[in-house]
Amino acid sequence: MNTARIAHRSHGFTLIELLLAITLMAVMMGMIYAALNVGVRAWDAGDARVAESSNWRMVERFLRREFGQVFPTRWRAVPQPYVAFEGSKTTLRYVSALNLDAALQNGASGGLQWAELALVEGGVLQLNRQPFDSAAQNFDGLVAPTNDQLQTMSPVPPVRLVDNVTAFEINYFGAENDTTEPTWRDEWRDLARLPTLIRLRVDTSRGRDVPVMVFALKVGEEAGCLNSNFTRYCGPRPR
Amino acid sequence: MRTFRQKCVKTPANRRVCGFTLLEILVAVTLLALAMGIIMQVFSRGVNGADVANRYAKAAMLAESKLASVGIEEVLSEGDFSGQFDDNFAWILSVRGYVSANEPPTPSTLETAALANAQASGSAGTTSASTLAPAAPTTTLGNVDVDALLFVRLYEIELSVAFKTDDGRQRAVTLNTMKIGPRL
Repeated sequence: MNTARIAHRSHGFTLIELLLAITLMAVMMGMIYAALNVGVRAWDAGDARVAESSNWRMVERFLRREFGQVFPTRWRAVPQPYVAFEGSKTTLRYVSALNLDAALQNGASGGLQWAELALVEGGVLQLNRQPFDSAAQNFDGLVAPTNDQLQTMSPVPPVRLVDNVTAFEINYFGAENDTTEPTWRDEWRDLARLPTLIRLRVDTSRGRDVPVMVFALKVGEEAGCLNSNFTRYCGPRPR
Repeated sequence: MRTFRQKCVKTPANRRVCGFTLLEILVAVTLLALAMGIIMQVFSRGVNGADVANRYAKAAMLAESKLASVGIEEVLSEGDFSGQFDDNFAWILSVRGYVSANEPPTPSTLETAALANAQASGSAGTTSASTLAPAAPTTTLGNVDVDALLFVRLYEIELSVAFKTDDGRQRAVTLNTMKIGPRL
């Protein structure tokens, strides 16, 4: 009774009131924390998506430049003058203008390069490059450098374009000669001319829908080529 | 003020206990909710902005891919074309024959009709008829129109990729280029 009167006179809180207040406070803090947490996570997710989409944009620009420079080189000494371009649904090998960064690292002054776009282990879409051997008869000399090789010698380093790839498909558009209608194909090899378009579908495990990318090959076979309305291919003039 | 004092209750221990009214609590809770709402909106604006940026990037990728295949997948011809990439992304393609700045534009059908009317009505229209009549093309070699001898001509191409963002706004990416196509 005595203590109660002192407590009332000092206008303090009872233990129960204090506990209740603390509990309510804790509940409210918890709710605010949860709400902010959701907000921050959404923010992070948005951030990651922007990072990924800008990465895709970079990959696309890189490939657009690469494929724009695919060079219509022909193998020497084969029964037919096949163009140095081998494409399947999953692998693409071509000859293109040597990139400046690659040329600098290799001590080369320029020229051509071999390149191979393929899915390597770990679901990485990778572009292997190597200076072009003009005596070559096929792409056999183009091998992906092993890890040891990467450490000892310094070939043109492969470019890791996309990782966590789950599905990957390449298609080719073109006509194999002047009399066939150009169509989309799954394969392009042992032909006398380059395709006109390359289409790439890539899916990653992150599940963002990446648009199908279409690239045009821009380097013509000869200056003053004749554009055919039928094949939509700029080929050599008839002599 | 009186109403406030009336809410104060005297306890047996001679202490005045003043609580909040329901109205006050409601106002306080509403204010808190508003404040929280504004804070959450700041977050969602950021996320929405990221989403809009993403869609712009996707639209640009789609547009560049489409532009790469224009004139190759199909023969280039004048006209307006449209289509759908997926549920959200649509494209509109406009192909026009390029008219150089020093080449007078060909009279439109309306102008031609006006011209015909003017000529039918008599001498009043004849002076304007000479200004409306298409002049000779600039690229001539003697009397030969060189342009007409070429198998190809330049086309102006405009491609728009339109898409909707979550805020319901229609946005678009537009790319312009020129391509060589058949002279039809």
